[in-house]
Amino acid sequence: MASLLPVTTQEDVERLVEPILDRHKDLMLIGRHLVIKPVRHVLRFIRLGNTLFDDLFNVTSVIDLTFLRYCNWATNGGRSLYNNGWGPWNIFDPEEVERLRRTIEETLPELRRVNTIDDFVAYRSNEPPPHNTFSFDFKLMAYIAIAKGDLDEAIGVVEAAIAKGWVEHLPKYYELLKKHDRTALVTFLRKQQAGSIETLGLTDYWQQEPFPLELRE
Amino acid sequence: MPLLERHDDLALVGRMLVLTPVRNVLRFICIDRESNVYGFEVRTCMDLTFFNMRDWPLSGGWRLAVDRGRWDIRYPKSLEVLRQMIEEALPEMRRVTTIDEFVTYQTNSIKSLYRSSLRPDGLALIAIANGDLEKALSIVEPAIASREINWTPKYYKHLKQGDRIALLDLLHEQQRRTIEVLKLAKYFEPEPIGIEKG
Repeated sequence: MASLLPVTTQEDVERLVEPILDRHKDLMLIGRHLVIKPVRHVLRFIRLGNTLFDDLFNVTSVIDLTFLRYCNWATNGGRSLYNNGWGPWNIFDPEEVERLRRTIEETLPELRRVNTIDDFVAYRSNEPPPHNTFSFDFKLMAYIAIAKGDLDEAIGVVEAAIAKGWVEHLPKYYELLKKHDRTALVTFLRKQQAGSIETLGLTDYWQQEPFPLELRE
Repeated sequence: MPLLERHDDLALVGRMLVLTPVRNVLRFICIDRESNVYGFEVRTCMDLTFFNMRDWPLSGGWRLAVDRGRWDIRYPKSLEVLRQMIEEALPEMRRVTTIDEFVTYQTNSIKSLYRSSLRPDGLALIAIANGDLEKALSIVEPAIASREINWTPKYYKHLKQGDRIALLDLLHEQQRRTIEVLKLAKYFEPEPIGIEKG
């Protein structure tokens, strides 16, 4: 299919965000992701351009947790920043570019406010349909419960998912969870987090912080 | 992939990483491309070679995936994670070598309710392979009555007649075709099926 607009390149994206980077010192661009520093348990970024069809320039703001296992950037739970309330952006139109920059900058404060796991839960909990899928993501729910040290709640989440036939294969942490082995669970989450940070190329911007699981004995 | 060097029972057939030798049980890991040129999906699969199949059966296993994102060849660090996940999956797959082990595995697996290989048709074929024609009939007849099997299985006539030789031929024929279609001849080691003994 012939695209209506030229395919956006990395240079186009860099030109787009340059003035934003100048004005906001807590931002950095990694590929097509405008990331808010510092990166701790919570990762906040704005994805510039759709993964599959880069000629359709969609923009999504994403808040996610770094201790999940990543193999790639993902926009789970992302909120789209639409052009005029709908559709993709044409970043070759100077007027639209200005509007997009403004939209991005208006979104930043709400992303900056989300700093802890609890902030993240609050942010994701009040989404309008059809984006209110937060609590259906049993893997996410289980991870949050583990990170917060609510191990019995985590077991309940996984077992309910098994009973519903949502689980194809037992998660790696399940044995540790059953044994309430807090030390091993901390090690597991730490290792997974370090791997994700490295995969996403965020090593230089990452600040390690303790898990609530470690603090609550 | 360094995996092939580390595990000499693995063979790459097209996009499938096959555990060899292939006997009655076929075990492989499917590494399949997605619509995105860089992205791909990986899953483990297990099935029986004497089932009637024309393509790789992508059932009987589980998806190898992480929590966020898709596998992408541009993220080298994530490929290390994937290799590790594959290596962790191998022992579990290696343990399933006989028809009985396959049945036990599929029955006890978490998602056993959704396994296509263990629907009545598959269960009947397994009973036939084990030489238990009575059991096969007791599985097939109600399934036909309830229209869960809404075709006449090829083995039905022979099963009614208790024709063990014809049934054995049929299983061998299906197995031969599976091995041929999936181009597994190099790794296939024929193994007697229960029905041959009794």
